[in-house]
Amino acid sequence: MRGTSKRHADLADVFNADEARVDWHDETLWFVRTKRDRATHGLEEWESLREVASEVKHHTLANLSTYLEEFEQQAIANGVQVHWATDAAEHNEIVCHLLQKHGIDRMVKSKSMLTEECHLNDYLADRGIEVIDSDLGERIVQLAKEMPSHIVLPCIHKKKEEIGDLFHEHLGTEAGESDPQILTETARQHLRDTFLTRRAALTGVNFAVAETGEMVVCTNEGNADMGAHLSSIHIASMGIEKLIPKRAHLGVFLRLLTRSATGQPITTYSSHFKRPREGQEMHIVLVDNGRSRQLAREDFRNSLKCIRCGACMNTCPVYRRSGGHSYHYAISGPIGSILAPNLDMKDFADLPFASTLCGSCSNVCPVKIDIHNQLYKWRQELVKAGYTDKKKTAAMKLMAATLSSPAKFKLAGKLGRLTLRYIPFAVNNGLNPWYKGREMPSPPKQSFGEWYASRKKEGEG
Amino acid sequence: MSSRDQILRAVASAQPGNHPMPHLPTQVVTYEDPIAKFTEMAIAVGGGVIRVNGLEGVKEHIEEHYILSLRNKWHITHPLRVVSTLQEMEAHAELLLSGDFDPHTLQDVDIAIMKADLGVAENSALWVPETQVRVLPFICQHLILLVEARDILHNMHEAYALMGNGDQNFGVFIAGPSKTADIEQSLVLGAHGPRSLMVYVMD
Repeated sequence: MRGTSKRHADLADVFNADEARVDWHDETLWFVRTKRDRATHGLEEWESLREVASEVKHHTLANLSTYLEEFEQQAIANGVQVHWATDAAEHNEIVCHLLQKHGIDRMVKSKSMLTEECHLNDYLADRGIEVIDSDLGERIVQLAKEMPSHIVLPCIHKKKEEIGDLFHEHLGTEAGESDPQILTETARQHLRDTFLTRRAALTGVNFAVAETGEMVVCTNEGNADMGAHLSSIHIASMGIEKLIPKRAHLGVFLRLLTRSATGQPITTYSSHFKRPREGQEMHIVLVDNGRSRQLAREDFRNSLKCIRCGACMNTCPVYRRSGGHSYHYAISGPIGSILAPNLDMKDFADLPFASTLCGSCSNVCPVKIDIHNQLYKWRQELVKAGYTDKKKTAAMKLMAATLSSPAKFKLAGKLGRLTLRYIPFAVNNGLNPWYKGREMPSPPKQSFGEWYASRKKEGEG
Repeated sequence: MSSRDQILRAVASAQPGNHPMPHLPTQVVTYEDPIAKFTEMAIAVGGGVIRVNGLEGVKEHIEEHYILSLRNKWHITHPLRVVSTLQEMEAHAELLLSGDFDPHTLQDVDIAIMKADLGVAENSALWVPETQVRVLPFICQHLILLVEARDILHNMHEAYALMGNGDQNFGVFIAGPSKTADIEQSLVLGAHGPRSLMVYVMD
């Protein structure tokens, strides 16, 4: 598609080299999808919950500037320090400055896709600040020097034996140990020491409530709380689209989030942070980084409703068989393919094409984002802007010309049939992208037009 | 222009025309026996539930059954550090009634006993409000939560309606022990927080 090495199709080829692993990955994610189905089909009000959630988000986006100001005012009144970052660089500077001001060079961090989006860990590492990710899956990919391949299940692409090898190398477990129970216990001991010795903790934010100025962080492991409650400075990074107007709306969103994500009725911990602990500093960094630009794009603003449950990834036939890393962006899968081109149309022009447009993503989305429609719209935008494969555009033009002229159409059909019959190797080869994973069809003896004409003759005769 | 003003201005000019705030759903799940549903869900998420007769029932069960079975199940032989935020547990636990200490000193707590304001039947979540010692329900090895049977509600909407906007500095819904399934989707209890959760539902 473009001249760079990062293309979804090429990266998917790498993942697809190991067919058994692709099958395993596919089945694991489908298993999560079926858990989601079981958790949602039991609730009669499920569809009305989705509708209300989608409308609450629509209402919030329509009044976002007002709600942001309300949130800021409440948070400040609660004793929280509020920072604003127009882009990733400013976010990273703010966090770095806060740490340097306190003379802190080691921080513990719970899951935050926003900090992945901003490449915070690398930024801080370059300035001599070590960050340890405390979510088990994130810690695993951090040890492997990889990005999370899934927003909810960061190391879903890894086999337990590979995790065992990482733990053997970095945490001193026995060679060959791959029992999840033992590996988790090892991480527990290792990270407990981290929690107890870090003065700064950074968490993400799942929801922020405008009317109360509080923010809610959801985890199963308890890692966000272990970090935040033992630290003397808690920094929470949030995208400006995480706001909801009222606390009562949490009832709607907490019911939707985990049922959609993992099929759980709720996460183990849904922590509501309102005021800092006695003697503690609490900071919130509100980050735009392209969100206001996406808000202005009428076709794509619905993507800002996303609550990051990952259901669209688990159900996506392309994601399940290409792996999260093939999306080369912090948020993979269908929703990431809408968010990424907003940040950089050129770099991520391939992603909206990494979809069959089957619509399964839109069907499971808890806030009813029309994901597959937006992917389709992005394709049109990207072609118009000239970020797609020139060869494909030329081929499409040729096809349009052929289809618009009956004479050219007949000739092309005839040539095609002759080619397939007499020199099939001319198309059954690696140069033909259509041949990849498929056989070319055996040619019919005559075209429909020819057949119809001969029938007519017979009828007359 | 400050980043704040720049963002607010960009958002204000980008946001779509007004869209009404929807009403909360009205047809919401309720259960014939919310305590039975609560118990079913609590067990499903890896916790345990014992129904007892008031605080006396809790104390009796802890002394006669809970500690013994915990020691057996987890092979604990050392003396247990049991702490509680409840004055009523004075005879059974070290009391933590003020937040005037370093939370790191709780790192060796084996059992914490705390009270939940309410429970939710649909997902077994228990609302544990600020208790001065925020880290306690996370840092302990095993957690015991007490809840009055009459405080078990049907669903999350009822919970937020009852709590209103509250004025707690911090609060948390807890459903089950700490867990992870990050390694090949294998469920492991005791990720970073408590390895077990026992809920006493008090009549």
